[in-house]
Amino acid sequence: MIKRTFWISVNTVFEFLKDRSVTGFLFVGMLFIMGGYVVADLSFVEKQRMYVDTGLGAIFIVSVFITLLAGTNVIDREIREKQALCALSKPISRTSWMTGKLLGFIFTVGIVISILTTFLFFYVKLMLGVWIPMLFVGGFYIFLEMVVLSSYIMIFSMITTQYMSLFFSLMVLIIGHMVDDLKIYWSSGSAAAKFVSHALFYILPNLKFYLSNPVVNGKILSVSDFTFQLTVSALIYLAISAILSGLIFSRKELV
Amino acid sequence: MNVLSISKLRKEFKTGFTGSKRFTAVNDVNLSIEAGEIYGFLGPNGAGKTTTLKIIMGFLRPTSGEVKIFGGNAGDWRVREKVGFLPENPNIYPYLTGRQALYFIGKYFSMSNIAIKKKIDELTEELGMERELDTPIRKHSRGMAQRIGLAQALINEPQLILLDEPMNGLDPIGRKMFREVILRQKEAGRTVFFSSHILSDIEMICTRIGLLNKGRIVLDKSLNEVMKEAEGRGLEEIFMEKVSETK
Repeated sequence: MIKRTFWISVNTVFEFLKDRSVTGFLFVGMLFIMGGYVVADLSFVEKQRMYVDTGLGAIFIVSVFITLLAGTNVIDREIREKQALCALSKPISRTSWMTGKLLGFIFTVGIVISILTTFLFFYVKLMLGVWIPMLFVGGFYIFLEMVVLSSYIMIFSMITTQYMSLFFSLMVLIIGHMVDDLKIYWSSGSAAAKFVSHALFYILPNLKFYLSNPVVNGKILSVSDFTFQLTVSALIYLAISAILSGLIFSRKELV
Repeated sequence: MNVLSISKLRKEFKTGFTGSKRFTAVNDVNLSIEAGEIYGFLGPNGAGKTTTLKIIMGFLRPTSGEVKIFGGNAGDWRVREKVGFLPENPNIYPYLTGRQALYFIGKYFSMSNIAIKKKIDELTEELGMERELDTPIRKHSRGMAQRIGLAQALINEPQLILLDEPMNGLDPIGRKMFREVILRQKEAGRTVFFSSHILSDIEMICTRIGLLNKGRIVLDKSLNEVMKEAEGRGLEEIFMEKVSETK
């Protein structure tokens, strides 16, 4: 079964790499990264910092766009256009199919982030003459955040329409970066506000941990421990998502 | 031996805004298909043929009743190891070429690279796909897409082949080729169950026919028996008669 899941995910990677919009996003990402030249030139702040922040920002934005737009489509389109019927008529369980699609999609996002991070790495060297290997750690943090976001997207895709799952996923991304602020309602506000803020605090991921700039700019001590913890937590999100969406999908009717 | 058995199958869909209304698509269907048969599953549009096939493939859950494939539950993915399925208007990975799509599908059956290559070569020749096998499926004509669809259903040398409207979108040459492929499957001892409303095709190749109308089986006999009882009338006349009887 693992082999079949593997082939589903390889097929999903093919699907995205042959999609022109992914190439388009890559191109836009590279343009944004090169835009760091203009920003650094206009700024009084340290040039290296401007290149790094603009570049990582560009990678983050492109990754979010791909994850949200393609991620909400990955399952929905295949069911809507009845491509899923072909794979699911083979000896493949629905959970395996779902897991394969999820892994293939995440791997594609990983490829896009790797290409853009490598581009940024060489671009910084070209413009400033310095190698910053920590950029790859920063790229990895963005990837982990996208893993967490994809996990939510898969569950939303199973329970609602494509556009609603896009909306919910965007909310997870926005609120996930402000989760700490929810604590304001813990000590004040109505009982309902307390309940909702507690629920959101524990349900939603704290995406602030996945910010890549502090790592690259040397603001986090013991990076290896922190990275390990974040990787484990992203993998837990992924596993929960695969199990939950697999369970929901196995009950779903493919009309 | 029964390859496929359907007993007391019923499928209801919820309709209306609140889902309080019910529409019965398949009602008390009983069928048993023996090994080596070519079973033609006939019926007018909306009779419930595709719904029945989707239940057999485990895409839909029956409201009540039971479907067994080789004695196993149709909802269990393991029984599909020996099954080939061609959906109606197949939409198979448009971003891949025919060869790549067949390769992936071979891998879903855990076939080796050598076995997949050999089978693709065989099917390419049998279905006349040489010219377009290496072009993306999205650029294929309807008939070509149907051939790729049939090839993916046969790649694992299935013992039970389920085809949903396989002759759709085919020209007379393509239809003849499909009929020959189906007959070769029978010669190899395989069982074919296919839905269609093209009566001439059914008449030419089926050993047994089932007529579904408004979700109910109104005829289930061997073709010889049907033609004997018809006393010189054609299958079309019998079809019209049976359909109007159940109106």
